[in-house]
Amino acid sequence: MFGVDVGGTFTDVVAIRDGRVEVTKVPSSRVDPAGSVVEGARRLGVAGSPVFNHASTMGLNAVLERRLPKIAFLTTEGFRDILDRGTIHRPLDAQTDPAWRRTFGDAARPLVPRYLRRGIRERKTARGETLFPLDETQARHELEILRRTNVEGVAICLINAYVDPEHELRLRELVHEVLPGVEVSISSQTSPLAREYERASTTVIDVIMKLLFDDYAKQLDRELGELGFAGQLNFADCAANLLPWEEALERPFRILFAGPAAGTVSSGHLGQVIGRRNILCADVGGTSTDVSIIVDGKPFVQNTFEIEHDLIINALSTEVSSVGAGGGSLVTVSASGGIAVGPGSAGAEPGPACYGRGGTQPTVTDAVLLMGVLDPHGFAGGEFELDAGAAEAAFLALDTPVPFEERIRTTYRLAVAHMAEEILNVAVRHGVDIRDFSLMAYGAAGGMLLPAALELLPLREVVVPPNPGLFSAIGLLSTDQVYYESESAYVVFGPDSVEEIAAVYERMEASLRARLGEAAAGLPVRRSFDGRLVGQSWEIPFVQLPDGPITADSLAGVIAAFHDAYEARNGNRFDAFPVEGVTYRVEIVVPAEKVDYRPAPETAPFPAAPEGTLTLRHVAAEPIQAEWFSREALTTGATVTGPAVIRERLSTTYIPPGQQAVVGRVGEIIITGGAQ
Amino acid sequence: MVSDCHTFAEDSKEKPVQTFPRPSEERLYVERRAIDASCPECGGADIRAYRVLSEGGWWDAEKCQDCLASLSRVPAPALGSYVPLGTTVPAVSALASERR
Repeated sequence: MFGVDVGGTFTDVVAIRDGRVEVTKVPSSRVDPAGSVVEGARRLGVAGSPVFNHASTMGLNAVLERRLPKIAFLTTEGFRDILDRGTIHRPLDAQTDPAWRRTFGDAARPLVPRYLRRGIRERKTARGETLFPLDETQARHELEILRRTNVEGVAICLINAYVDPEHELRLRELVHEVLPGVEVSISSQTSPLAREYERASTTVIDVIMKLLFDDYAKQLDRELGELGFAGQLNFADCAANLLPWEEALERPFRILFAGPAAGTVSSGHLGQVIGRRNILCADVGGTSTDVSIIVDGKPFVQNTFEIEHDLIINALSTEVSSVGAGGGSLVTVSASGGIAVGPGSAGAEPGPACYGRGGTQPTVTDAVLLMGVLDPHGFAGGEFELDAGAAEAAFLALDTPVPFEERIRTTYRLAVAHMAEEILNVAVRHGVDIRDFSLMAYGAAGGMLLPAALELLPLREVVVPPNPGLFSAIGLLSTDQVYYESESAYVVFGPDSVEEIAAVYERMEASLRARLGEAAAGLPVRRSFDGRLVGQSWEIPFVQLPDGPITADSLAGVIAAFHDAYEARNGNRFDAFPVEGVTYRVEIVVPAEKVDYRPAPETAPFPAAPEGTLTLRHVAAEPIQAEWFSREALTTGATVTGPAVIRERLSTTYIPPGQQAVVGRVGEIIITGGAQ
Repeated sequence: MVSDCHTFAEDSKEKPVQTFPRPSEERLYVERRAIDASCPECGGADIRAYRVLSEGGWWDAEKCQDCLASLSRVPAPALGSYVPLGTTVPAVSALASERR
């Protein structure tokens, strides 16, 4: 099985054969992005693999950096600025700032320049009636202008097209006629949901992603085939669910943001194997730490996703919060002369000072090296030596009265504190008791920094999974294929609306089964809806419907389930208020082959045999002696008492004084002690 | 810029007090000055320069009249065409500067 995580700097390729993990890193290429993936597949031998699961930040980076193809946006006359105005929400820190502008607005960096946003004379009402017929002459005139500007794609989002797509379908025909060969996305097929701004921005992203990924996916499929790969090429979506590549390209806005969700899925899968259902997930990278949550075995999935403030996509996505603290976070001097950590990062180039690639500013990694936790000779699998002298010089160069020892100790503590704060924020936002949760610490620096969070947070434990540096890529091999359809209709739930609601679900289920064909045979359809109390503007998402036909009785149960979900989210309930459905969803899960954790037999704890001792500096007032262990040599039941360091090829785990670690049945390191 | 004025003549049936003639234009338009250039986006030759009000305030723009692409767009004075008298009389603006 192959999992590939294409990042901005490196492409991580992971292959799992007979439970053995092989990995290679290939520099990502902007000129030939598929080439990097194929090179990784060639190195590890992709022939015979049943699946090749792929996640990429290529689309997201292109949107963030505005390296976009030239596209046009067609909407109802008078509405062409919906893309510019967004939802009108301002971030909290810009409430009183008159100079604040949306990052995607006309005064900043619009996704579609204003002259390529054209109004079309037509109008459907919210009930789907034709208020003004489509003016084809005027539409052709606008399309002629677009033809002269050489646009590569066209996004169409007409007002109320989610109720009746007639005008959008006809306009698409006209585009094909006047602009042959140009990619088109229409909102009534891309995201047929209420609220025109979100529908419009989703449709624009969709056509951009079509242009970015169409040739890429075809090249990937062809070249992997030439290497002997005959299995299924899947793309991961924003919730790390898998989609066959042809299906993904039908509505590619769903694959915009796949990487971070994969770590959450990986945590859920491992959690299931080791019996943990409540998990806080923290992926410590070079620049940031991504935090997500799994409650009762389920990741927290949301029905929209924000690329930048107010730039919203109607995609099911795993909720991930980020804080600017990671291994490469820069250490600076604050205005008061103290030590500050992040949010700036040294990135991959030049990287921390100790990498010896020209970086002169100290980072968290430099501090941990000077503490003695990192092995200067075995970093990143021994690919390069770390230069402790350069790290020391970088810390000495800081213009601060803080003593040298304290600079390093404070750097380490502040980095951990920033991460712990974000972990606590996520827990508080979800109203959970942190004492019931395990913290899954992954990313190459997760095990190095996060066990110390136990001293700040009363977590149940910290779990460092096997291969923490590759855990997100392994997540692509821990998930299923998920197909879904969604539709919007404002319907007040009650005995009179049973038929209308049932018809919506029947229509979507028939469409989904027709799309999947034989693959869906015998598989159940999961139904859910996003609803609200009548008069509200915001919905409670993913209220589940029971299996079986929708009747007056079952609808009463659904209404009760809505009030339960409302209470779980908001802490109060209003049973007397009627419930209004807004978005309806059907979903079919097709099981995919997953990474197979094979638990070893339960073993009584025994002290692990150290490989040697080392000296830890700047941890306490005086240097302290600690044992170090090789992770490869640690077997189930082995216990380690802190202070200790556990080293493996691509990662290091540091167990601070006062903590204990035990190796679990699939090789995970479970760390306790501290503030519990 | 073409000027316009309202005289209240029809309302009051009195003789207008203004000394300039009533404008003949039905609507007020910004003058669009022709520019000798062609549009890099659509190849159009009708390029005009004029002031527009958009997100971020007033802009002096040079736009293609066929596709409306902006060939150039630079911030214009914040108050648009209105120029406070104090900034046009040297003695007054010098005095204001001294007081600041």
